Amino acid sequence: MTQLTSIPQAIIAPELSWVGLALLLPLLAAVACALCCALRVKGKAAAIITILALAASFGIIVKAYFAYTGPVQVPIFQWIDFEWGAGQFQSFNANCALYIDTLTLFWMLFVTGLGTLIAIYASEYMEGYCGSGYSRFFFGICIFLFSMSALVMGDNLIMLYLGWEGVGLASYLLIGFDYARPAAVAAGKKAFIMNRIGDLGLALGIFMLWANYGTLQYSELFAAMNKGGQTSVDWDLSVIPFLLMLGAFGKSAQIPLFTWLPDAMEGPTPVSALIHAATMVTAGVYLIARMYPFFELHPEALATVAWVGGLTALLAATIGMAQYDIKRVFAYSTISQLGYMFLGLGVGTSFGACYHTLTHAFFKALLFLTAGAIMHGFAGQLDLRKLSGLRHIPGWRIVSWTMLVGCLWLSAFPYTAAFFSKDAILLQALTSVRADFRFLGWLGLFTAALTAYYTFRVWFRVCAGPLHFEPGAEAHSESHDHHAPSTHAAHTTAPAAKSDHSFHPHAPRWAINGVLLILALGAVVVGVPAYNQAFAHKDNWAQQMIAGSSAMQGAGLAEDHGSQASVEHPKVLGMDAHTGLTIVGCTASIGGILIAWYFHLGSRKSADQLRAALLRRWWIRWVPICMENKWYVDEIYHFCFRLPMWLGSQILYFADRHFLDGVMVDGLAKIPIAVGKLFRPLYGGALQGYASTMAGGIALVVAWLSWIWLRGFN
Amino acid sequence: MVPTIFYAACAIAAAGLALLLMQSGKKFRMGASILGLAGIAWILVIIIQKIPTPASEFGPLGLMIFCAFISVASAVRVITHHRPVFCALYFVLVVVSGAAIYVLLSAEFVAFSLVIVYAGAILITYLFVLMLAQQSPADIGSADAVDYDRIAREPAGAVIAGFVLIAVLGGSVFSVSEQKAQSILDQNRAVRLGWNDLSMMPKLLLEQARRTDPTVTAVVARTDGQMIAVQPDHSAIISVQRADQTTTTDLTLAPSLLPENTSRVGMALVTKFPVSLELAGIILLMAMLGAVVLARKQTDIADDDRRTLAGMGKVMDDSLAGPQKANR
Amino acid sequence: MNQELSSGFTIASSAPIAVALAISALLFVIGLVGFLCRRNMIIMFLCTELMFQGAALAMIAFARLRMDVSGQVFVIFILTVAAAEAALALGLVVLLYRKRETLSADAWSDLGES
Repeated sequence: MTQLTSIPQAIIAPELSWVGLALLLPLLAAVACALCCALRVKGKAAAIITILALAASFGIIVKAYFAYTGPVQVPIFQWIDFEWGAGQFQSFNANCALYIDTLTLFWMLFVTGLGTLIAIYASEYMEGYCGSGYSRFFFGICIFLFSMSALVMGDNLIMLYLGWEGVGLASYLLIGFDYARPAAVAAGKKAFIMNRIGDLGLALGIFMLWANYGTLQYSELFAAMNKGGQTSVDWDLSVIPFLLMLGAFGKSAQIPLFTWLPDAMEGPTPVSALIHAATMVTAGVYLIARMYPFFELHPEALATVAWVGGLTALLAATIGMAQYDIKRVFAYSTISQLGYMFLGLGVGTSFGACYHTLTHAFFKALLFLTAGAIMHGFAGQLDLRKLSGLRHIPGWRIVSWTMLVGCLWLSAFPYTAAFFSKDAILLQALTSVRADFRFLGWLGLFTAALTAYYTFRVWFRVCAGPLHFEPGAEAHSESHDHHAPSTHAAHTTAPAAKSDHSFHPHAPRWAINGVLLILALGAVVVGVPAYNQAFAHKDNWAQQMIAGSSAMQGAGLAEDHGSQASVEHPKVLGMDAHTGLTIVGCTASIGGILIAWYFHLGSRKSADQLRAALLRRWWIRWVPICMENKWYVDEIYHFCFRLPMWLGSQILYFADRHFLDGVMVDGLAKIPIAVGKLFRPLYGGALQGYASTMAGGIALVVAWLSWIWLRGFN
Repeated sequence: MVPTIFYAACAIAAAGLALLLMQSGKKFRMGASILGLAGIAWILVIIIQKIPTPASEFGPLGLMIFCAFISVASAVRVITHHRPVFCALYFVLVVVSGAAIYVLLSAEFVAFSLVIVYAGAILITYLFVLMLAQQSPADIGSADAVDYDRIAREPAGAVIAGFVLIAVLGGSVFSVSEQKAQSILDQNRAVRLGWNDLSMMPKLLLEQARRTDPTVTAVVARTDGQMIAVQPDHSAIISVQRADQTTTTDLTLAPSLLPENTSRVGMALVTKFPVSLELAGIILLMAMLGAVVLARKQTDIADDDRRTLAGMGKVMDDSLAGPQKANR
Repeated sequence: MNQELSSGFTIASSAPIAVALAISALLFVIGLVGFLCRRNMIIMFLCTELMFQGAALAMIAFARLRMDVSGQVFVIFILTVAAAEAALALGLVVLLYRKRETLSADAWSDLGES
């Protein structure tokens, strides 16, 4: 596997500053989109600008990949530069500079590539919003791409944090894109606030890093790590990985902070595909991979990551099994797959985690985009009970079959790319010397079976079976007829459905179909490195990419787990680890698919019967109920955090209303009113009333003055 | 104790005034008048007792007390008489007796202007307006005056407020030690101010110098830059040029050559208070303009008409215009 | 008028001045009482003139006391203001009389709250 080497020292290469265009172009495109927005451009100018900028950005990254020779640091301009002394901890600088190593390029390749493809997809998908938010949408996309590029390419943690917050902002803006819908607004707020909790951890982690190392630049931090001697478990050193971890968990929707991601599906589907499936949510994986050496500052830090990842994978998979909304199923599958990535990072295979990120980015973007195409065509219908047999409708074949590709990949069907990437993670876990990691490995295999089941539950329900569909709630606005029925009877034949029915699903056109095909192709292609390794016994490209960066440099870690695994060839079920895992993995995947086939294609009634049977038995009833209600996590959070806060705010509101306002403000104001009432009879409107008041007042003043005067004289 | 006695005198005068305002029978009013006059007399006696007066002063003092009684009594009649015309006429009496007191206080110019302006001009205006606004005898009926002229409003309260003012002021004045009150009067200062005023009037100064010595051709500044040097015996020395001499010589002016009150007032008016004089003129002008505006026929005109008169278009109110269009 | 009196030599004591001040105070207070008691608007303005008289007399008395003509100049200004005030006030009274056909001040109490 890997051997223990020091992180290569980055050289400063100002001549590579053209790579900065990858950062600049999305920003310029964002400005242009904002201008389109301000000028109320009705056409698709914003989409064209965005697609061109992102494609150029992708081209630059590809060029940078071919020009790559070793880790480089590309200064662009001085950004933050403070110095208040000569010592080590007496300066603070964070320049706008790029740190380009293989991990950066690995990430940027799929971020910009998928960004371009999804922008093309969105140019057709969002055309209903032309003139009313179309430019705004692409503005959000550009801001996202800029932020994500800054996050990945920045040469210091401040740049990373800038990008981190920028993607959070873009996510918020795009989830709440349709701000007229309260659900979208609430989802946007939820995502933003939950991310704040994680961001607090990240910010504190960055503070701690500076406090301990006096710098935030990767190259200097890694140099400090290379020197060693930092492994002492000091309180403020060992807290760094946990703080960084909290940030990663927030952004990547892991267990304490995962509830925002399913709700984020309120955003437009391209956003779900790009931000909430393929790229932004992998920022947590990137952060941990980038800061991998620092996770040894505490011996249990990576174990925590592994446990959180494994448990999240299982939990999200169980919830995903019981959801009916296609996008929500995919959202939970995203959380589950991210859990796998964290499991991989935790058990020590950053290669497995990063490779899984890559494969996941393709097949999950593909799945979301097919779901989006269905939603687009069927007027917002996403309930998998109300859609069936779509592959029979002409024009929907590409969607159906590319969705099948996505589902196969997601369920880690043998010899797909995802099979290999998941295999890398589970192999590392199962061959670990730690028993709890091995347990997590078996848990991951069980989860893989669940994944295969719920994935194909979707496909068998939606694309296979007899033709039947009901349009969604948006049918009223999209229908061309005078009358849009709210419910539809089953239609068994496609021509009948098309000819005499008021609702016509409109099939996707070239932009959506083309992108789906390219993504399906991409999902196949990302398997090539694994095929190379498995069949041609060549080097795995992805592994090379990861190995050349900081992600592989766990100083003591590779020794503990990885090298041991390669030396002793531990067994899985009495067989060679690779063979055994392949057999078990294939069994899990195919078993899950077969179960899904039985319940959701073979005899659909039996699924309901099973559910009813489970609900009848009191000792097992809680399982379906909890799964359908997402294990009540939202409710628990509501009860533990929102309710006390709400109560506190009510108490403060009461105090403010009745004490501050009631007593202090209004009460004080009542005094002059009362005094005024006392004197009101003096101002009855009669002229002499005023005059006598004046005379009396003068008499009083004169009496007082003369009294003072007399006292002074005598 | 003097203040206590003074307060008692004030109380008696106040009681008399209050009773007069209460408007009862004729005998009652006589008694009230006597009570009030007694109170005022007592106040004056207290004051005169308080200040030692040389025998030579008895003449002016007696005159002043006489005028005081006329003035106060007619003032009381102004506020108690039922018929406004008589009130105005009593006010003339107040002004005239006041002018007499002014003369006794050596302010002749102001005294005469007071009579001219007040008794002559202002009071005529008052009478004119009274005639203008008087109800016809038919309206008045058998009573000699309308209700609002006969019945006073809360006389007791008003009198208390007024006389408390007098009591506290007078009481405090009486508490001041006599030395302090005496020291305020500074003869030397008066003479110095008088000569100073004269020095600012070169023509009059030359005239006074000629009256002393007919050969004087010009008065020149003295060596210390001043025109006049005041002597301790209240005479003054000035430098003059004579027709038969080339050098300047000193000339002593007797105190009797001090300028008259009227010329001093005129001088002060134009030298010390020129801005106030201008402002007084502006006030009079404004009053004239105001009177013109008030005298114009007051008619209530609507905003639209006002806009039309000013040459502006009418304001189109949509909320009003809407229904009209709908009706059409 | 006696030259000595006018130039201020013979009145050695201030008794006449004190009497004049007492009269001025009494005139002022009687004017005030009248203003408060009478209901006829013209008489009320007449009472303010009475108060002016009191104030003017005090000015003259103090001018005599201080041997300074400024007090007399102030009285001239008081006369000016009184004349202006009389012109405007009487104009207003005529106006008000035209509106309500009465001189009673009670007819004009619209500013009252109750």
